[in-house]
Amino acid sequence: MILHHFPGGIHPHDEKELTAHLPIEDAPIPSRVFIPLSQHIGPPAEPIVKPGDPVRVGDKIAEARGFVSANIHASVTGTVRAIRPYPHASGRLAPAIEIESEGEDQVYVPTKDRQDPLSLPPQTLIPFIREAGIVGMGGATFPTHVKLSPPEDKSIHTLIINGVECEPYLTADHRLMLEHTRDIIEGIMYIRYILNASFSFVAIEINKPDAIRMMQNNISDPHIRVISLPKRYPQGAEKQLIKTILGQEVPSGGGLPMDVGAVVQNVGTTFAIYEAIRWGKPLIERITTVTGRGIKTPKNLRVRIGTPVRDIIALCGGWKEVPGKLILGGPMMGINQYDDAVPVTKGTSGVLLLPREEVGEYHPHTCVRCGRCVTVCPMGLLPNFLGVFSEHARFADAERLHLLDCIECGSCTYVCPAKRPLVQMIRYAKGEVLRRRKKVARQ
Amino acid sequence: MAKHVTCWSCDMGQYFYILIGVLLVHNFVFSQFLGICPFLGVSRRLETAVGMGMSVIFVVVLSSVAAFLINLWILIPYHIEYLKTVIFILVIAALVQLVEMVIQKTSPVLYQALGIYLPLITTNCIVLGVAVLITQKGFDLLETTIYSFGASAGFLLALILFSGIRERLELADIPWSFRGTAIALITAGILSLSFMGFSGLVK
Amino acid sequence: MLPELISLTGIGFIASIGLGIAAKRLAIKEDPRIEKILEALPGANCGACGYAGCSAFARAVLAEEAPVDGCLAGGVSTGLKVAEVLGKKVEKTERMVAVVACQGTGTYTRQRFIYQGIDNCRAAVNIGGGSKACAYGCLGLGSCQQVCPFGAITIKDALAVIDTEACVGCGICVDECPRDIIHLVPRKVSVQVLCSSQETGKNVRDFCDIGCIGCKRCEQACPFNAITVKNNLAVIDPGKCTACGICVDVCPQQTLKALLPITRQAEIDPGKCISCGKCKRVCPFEAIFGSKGAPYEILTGKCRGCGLCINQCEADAITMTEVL
Repeated sequence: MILHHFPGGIHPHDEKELTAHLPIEDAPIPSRVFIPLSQHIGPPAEPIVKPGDPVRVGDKIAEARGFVSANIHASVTGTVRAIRPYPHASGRLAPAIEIESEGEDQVYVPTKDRQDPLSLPPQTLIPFIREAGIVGMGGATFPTHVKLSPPEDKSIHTLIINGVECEPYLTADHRLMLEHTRDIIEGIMYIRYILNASFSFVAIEINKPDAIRMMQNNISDPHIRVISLPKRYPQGAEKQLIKTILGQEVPSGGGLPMDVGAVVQNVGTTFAIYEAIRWGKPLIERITTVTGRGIKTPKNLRVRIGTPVRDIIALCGGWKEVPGKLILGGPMMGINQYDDAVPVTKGTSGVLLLPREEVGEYHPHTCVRCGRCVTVCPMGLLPNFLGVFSEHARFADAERLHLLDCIECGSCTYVCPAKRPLVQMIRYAKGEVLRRRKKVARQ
Repeated sequence: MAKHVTCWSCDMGQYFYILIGVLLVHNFVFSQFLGICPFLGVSRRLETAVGMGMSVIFVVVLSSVAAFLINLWILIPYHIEYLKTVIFILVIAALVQLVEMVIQKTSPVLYQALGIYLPLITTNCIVLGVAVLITQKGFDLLETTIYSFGASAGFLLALILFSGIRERLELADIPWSFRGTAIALITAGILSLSFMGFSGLVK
Repeated sequence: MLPELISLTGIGFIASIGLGIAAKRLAIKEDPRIEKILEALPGANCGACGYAGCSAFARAVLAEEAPVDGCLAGGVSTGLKVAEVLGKKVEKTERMVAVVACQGTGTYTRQRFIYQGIDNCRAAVNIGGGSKACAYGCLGLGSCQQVCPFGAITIKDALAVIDTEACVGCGICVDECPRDIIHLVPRKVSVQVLCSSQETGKNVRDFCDIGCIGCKRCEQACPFNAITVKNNLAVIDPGKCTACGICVDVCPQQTLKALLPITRQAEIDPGKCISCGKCKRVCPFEAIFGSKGAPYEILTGKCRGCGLCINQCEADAITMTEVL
């Protein structure tokens, strides 16, 4: 099939050799978990337990607030100790439910066994996903039941399963595709059924040949095709995937994939959807890649939501030498942490430990107008101007240059020879533009 | 030596040369250094620069044609050529007032943006310069129109080039001692130098 | 002679008639008061009034959308001039001043990580919640300084400092601060709590030497019940505070400060004084001396202008005067 091309993109070394060959290991149950109430896009969930309550693994402990929100479930069996502000991956304190785990029955026992979900009406499957609190596990954490409920006038013809995992260092999705192939394929069929999509593609980057082969060999449905995509960051971004596979661009300024009739879903989310519909299992654990040359023993771990990162680091042997950076996520879009008490959440695809010698200090200069950032921007924007406008507080001009279409992938910052923090400048400008819009709306 | 009024000439080429000559080779701003005040004053933003340039084109063409006609019908027959400066200024002042009123009515935003520079078109040396030059060079009516249009279009060109550069300069990190007018003048000088490249193209 | 005369006057005449006709045809109706109001305004286009510039404010005043004394840069005098143009009366408004409720300079506080990035508080606060160990304190990167139209804010040792003389109370910095620790207070309430941390005293000591620890000594010392401790932070009620400064004296952390010098002094009228001595007993600063038989006197050096003595005086012999 003819593949299209998205503009720009970079080719960082993918560093996946550190963990790509390591099978998924189950992390031992932590003694305490801290489950934040906000692990998704949308208002935080409301707690429905109080300190002192006993909970079992899989119990719902917080209710979604509104439609675009997600439920939160206990990831361990134990007692609720507190609901208080606790370190969060965003860097600020955020309310979290602290559960002290106790008891042996920490394995989740499925409450359901739906043998043939495809015989039920498709609309009845969405509440199962909603109840399980599933959100986008590629990192965006958008509530999945909302994504799978497009409005009446938007018909979906294509479902794309995102197994690209373009972020360097991360191999969680790769291992998932190798070890839970049939479950993922079943999940794909459920999603196809819900959306009534005519075409489904499983997009995998060409640096994962074993996963490509594995998926191809196990798919019997002729409507699901595995496509291998050339290796380029950020191939795994939603809009870039749609451009590459369908040749269409999601409309600028607030457009969504459903506007071009497509829905993109991460393989991790697909697996969680399978578990929720087939077995009624809520989202209580995820696969996280613990990697980097700063950790003694890299692993692909299955961890319970709410596990403090310091427990995970200790499990993998701890820091090898002088700590440099601790990043939740990947090196391009992950969030740098200063406190290792931060818990793993639904969107934590990786824990990256960089040793001191791999972390550089930089001093930004003025834009030299080399244009490298323009060449690599996958959305076709002008990051040099966006950065300069942000510096000079010319936010209206930045908005005119499609500031809000930036996906914050980091390609521009990666190539800038003047070492300018372009993504930070763009994020700051976005914040100011939205703040001004709110002010105008209030007046 | 005044030619009698001919509104047509068989040789189209000479009009082309007049236009190119006054637009590029003898650009009024970059080669003849006239009209510098509004050039530096209104060239901060592209929209105001274009608005200013258009107003100048309007005033220059109209005043040059009026000057040509006054020269032909009043000044020369009655041998009062020495009054041309005064009379031309009169006509120019009236025209600028008219333009100001029209702009205030049609585009208040542009009116605010141009501010003091609009009435300053009256004292813009380009306007008087073109009016006087066409009497000196002995053009006919069509040549006058083309010459005056080219001269003011040259001014517009200069404004567009300069304001485009100045908008970028605002975003640059200029050393403290060069900020403001200093870098603007240096840039204008470099642009002048570049326009020297056209010299010799047309006699 | 004649041709010159005729040509000059002729052309002039034609031009003036033409312009006269054009002026009538292209006339724009504009309220002449706009010009007068614009003259009264300082013309700085600073935006402190909340409008896009002086002409926008003038229009808003004419349309009765903006208050007559809305020009903060011009102050009271401008307000009176504008009122004159419109033929209105203006009530006296309280002069406000902005205060940064933090004293956490680099010397007094700690950082929890090294921040590398844009020098702008609004941008820095999104990175890990800001690098200052105190989650409530001033980040000191100068966002407020950049937006102040009057140049009243400077950054000293990673802390924003407001010059109370230059500040006109426009409130633009209040909107800009991402931590919301700049407050507009009435100018006369000069004693302020210069801390915004709601952390417990133990935690505050970890990251700041000069923050409020919620010890409540100020609450106990205040003779006017004007200061209370809520959420581990002292809060002053501007309605009750007399700026006497007792709380400033007792605060162990130097968190409370008097921003303006004492300008009020009590004065005893010797003719009315009955030497009962109640004022001397109640004065917390030992600023009244005297004994039975002779009129009491105020020691102006010690008097803080708090007014407790005035409440006590049975003979109405004490008055408060403004001292410059």
